[in-house]
Amino acid sequence: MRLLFLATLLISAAAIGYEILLMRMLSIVQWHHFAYMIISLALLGYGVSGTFIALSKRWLQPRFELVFGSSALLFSVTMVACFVLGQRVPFNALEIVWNPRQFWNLAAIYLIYFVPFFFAACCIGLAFTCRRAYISRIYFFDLFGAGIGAMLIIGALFFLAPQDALIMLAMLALIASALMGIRSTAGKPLIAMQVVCLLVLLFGLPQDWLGLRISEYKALNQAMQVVGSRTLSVSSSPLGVLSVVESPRIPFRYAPGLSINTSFEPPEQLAVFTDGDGMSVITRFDGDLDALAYLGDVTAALPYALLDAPQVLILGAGGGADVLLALVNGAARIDAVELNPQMTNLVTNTYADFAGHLYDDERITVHTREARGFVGRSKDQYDLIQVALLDSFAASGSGVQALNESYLYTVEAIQDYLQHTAPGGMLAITRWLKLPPRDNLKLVATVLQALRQMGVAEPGRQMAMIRSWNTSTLLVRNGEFSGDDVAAIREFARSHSFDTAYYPSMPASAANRFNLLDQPFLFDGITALLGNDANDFVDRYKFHIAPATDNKPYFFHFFKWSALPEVMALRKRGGAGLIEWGYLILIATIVQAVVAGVFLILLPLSRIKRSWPPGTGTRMGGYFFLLGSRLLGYRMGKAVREGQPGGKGPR
Amino acid sequence: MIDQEIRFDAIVAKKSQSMRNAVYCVLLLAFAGHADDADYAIARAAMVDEVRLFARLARDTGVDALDEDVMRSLGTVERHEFVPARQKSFAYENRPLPIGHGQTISQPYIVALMTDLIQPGRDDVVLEIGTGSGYQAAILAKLVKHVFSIEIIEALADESAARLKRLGYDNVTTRLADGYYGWEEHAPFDAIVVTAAASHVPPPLVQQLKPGGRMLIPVGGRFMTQQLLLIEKTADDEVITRQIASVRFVPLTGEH
Repeated sequence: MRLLFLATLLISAAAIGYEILLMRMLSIVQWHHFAYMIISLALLGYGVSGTFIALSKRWLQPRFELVFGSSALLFSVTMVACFVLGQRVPFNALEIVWNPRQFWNLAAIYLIYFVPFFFAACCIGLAFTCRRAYISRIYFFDLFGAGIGAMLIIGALFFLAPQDALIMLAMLALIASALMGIRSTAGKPLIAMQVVCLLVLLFGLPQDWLGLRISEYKALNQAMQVVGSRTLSVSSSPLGVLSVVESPRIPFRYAPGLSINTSFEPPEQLAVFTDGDGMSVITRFDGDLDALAYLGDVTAALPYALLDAPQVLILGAGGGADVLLALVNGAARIDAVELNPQMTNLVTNTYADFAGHLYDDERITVHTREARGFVGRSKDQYDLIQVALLDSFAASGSGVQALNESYLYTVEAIQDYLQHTAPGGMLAITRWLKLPPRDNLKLVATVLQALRQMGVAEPGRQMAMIRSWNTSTLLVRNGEFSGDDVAAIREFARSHSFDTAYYPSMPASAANRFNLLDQPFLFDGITALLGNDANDFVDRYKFHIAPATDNKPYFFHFFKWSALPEVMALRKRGGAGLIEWGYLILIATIVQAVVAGVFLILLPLSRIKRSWPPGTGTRMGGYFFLLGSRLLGYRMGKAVREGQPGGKGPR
Repeated sequence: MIDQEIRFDAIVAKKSQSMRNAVYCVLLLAFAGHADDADYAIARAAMVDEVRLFARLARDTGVDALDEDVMRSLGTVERHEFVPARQKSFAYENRPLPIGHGQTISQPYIVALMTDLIQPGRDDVVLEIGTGSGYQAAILAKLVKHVFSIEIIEALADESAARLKRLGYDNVTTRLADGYYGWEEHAPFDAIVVTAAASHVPPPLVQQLKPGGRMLIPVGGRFMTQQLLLIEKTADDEVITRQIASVRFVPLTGEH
């Protein structure tokens, strides 16, 4: 029986490991919201295997070891084979708005990835069914194995590339198969197949088969298409795969929010992509701040026009762009917080010469920590807390991040930040500007709620915002802005041809002067949010701009179901950018899960003759439905929180 | 206004149906490998009708109706020649299509809108940054004196250059180069279209724009243009930028 316990533990470990790994891999090759799909797949696998066992119990029972061993072997084989196959489905998530065939491709992916979970669940289900006398111990090893699997895969991803971690998990399932094969009386063919499988896993898989086929529309692949670009290094961890790319012939010149008036050009940069997206840059620096003069001409430089030699805290140091921004603009001391140690390592070690040993500067201290956790524990007060703009415009505009949790932009976060600003100090947050505005107004709504909860009677006196054609920078001051502050904001904006979107007592005539919008959306929106009818405005706005909180940390969720018919109808009239396609994937996933559940679980089960009294089925069904929903809700919350880069809780 | 809109929507629905029928015919023929130039012409005409109708509904763009010359160009350029073989049957649907290398051919409506917004004139010299398939350059070539187009993806640059030559667009010159610095030898330009993604407006491009010239940059990810940035240089060399929504969309419910 010990072999069975060990085999159960290994299968459980491999199944959970595979679930987490698939989430990571699909986050890399596609986008993050596929995590939800994987959870439903895993549970579907367990459900279908339950039906299969219920229908074939009589045949399976006498062949327990053989069937367990075979299922484990098939689990091992299919977890690799289905990954290879799944990557070959020509699914393009971005085209889902335009091309209904993409829904079929998504369905194909769903069915392919379901298979390994079915075989894993067959092993566990068989053990429960055929060895009832040991059910409590089997259950213990099942859960124990799941715990080990989760820890194992997270640890392994620090050292192994995702595809190598996949092989490791396949080996675990193969060992489980071998353990049961030893017990089986008819196990010779099984053992032969195990040996073949082992040899294939170790020596027979072409690298090309397992290579991650990242969507050609993700930023990394877009960059790699450019003539002369090449990957310098790739490092992997559970926080993401970091790819560093150089493009000497067509330099990156990444400078969001740069003034149209500027005469400066960004110097050479290396691009760092996290999971093939979310580009940040490491900028060449040789100690000459004049070479970085362009950083004085971005909207994010606004707070430095109001502060003299400030003590700065940067949340999201990335490749160091905001640290350089602070240096160029005269910061006296900089604390830079970055979650991903591998990102910090790129600047401090791997590309230290390129980055001019930036983090060795005595004015700069780098903290490898989660941003909210750092702020919460910090005893320091800063003149400026700057939240970096690390997501891409395309990602923030298309609903890619809609389901991501972010604890950086919640009411409680804003309060934390403000409590760590010195009197007269300020918080600066730069966001992409989209039309009609989404992030920018949601951020303002969040800040206003934070200030009101802190007892500020006139929050509008502590807030200012400017905008370029593609970014906005919001300032929130610890205390009211003075007349001099307002004059400095206006002058900074005017001299760079940035528009003022809001400052205390701003007249409507001061809005919309340089970069003309059809209407002064931001000024009107902020004015409405400050007014008595703010709630009505939020309700009537066609995007979700109600404040994000730690309990509902979905800052990037702008989608309202009520607007879906209108935006879908507008897609051919140039309105495709209004559609947050992440939600279309979610809808498709729910439909798929329901259809698969009905056809693969419920309909086959209806063939079984029931022996229980009338009414029991409904009650039992309801009981397990609610239990399952609870489990699913919990697992989704946990898995999505743990499975995404930077997606940790607030503390 | 609302009545008018409802009427427009009814027309759109009716027209769209007949357009769809035309496109489906071409689709069937294309799948069967029998679509010929006449079939494509029918589908193209249907596509132009659809774009024309949609433009009338999109007054937030500042354009009541698209310029007839632009529409004629859209109705002449053979979009099916600019897409990969497997996409030909969708060539005249009003949507962006993948062209390989992670790039797309823009939605015809957006191409028409962008072309209209730069107000092309017969004697104009236009610079395009991001040749892609060459479709936008071909549309412009029918309207202006000369188009200079720069691409940064080698395979696309080669393909589009060969395609434009084969199709007889002699007034288009392409090259593989860094678009940031424009094309100094042929500057200044009457108009510049930047179809490649940019985190900021390259200052050299602003300098290479003639007084009175217009530059246009679509903003947003592949397959979904979010908005358009129009940069105008006045006769006094003053630069004015205008952000244009590519669609009429009122962000508040209950307002029209």
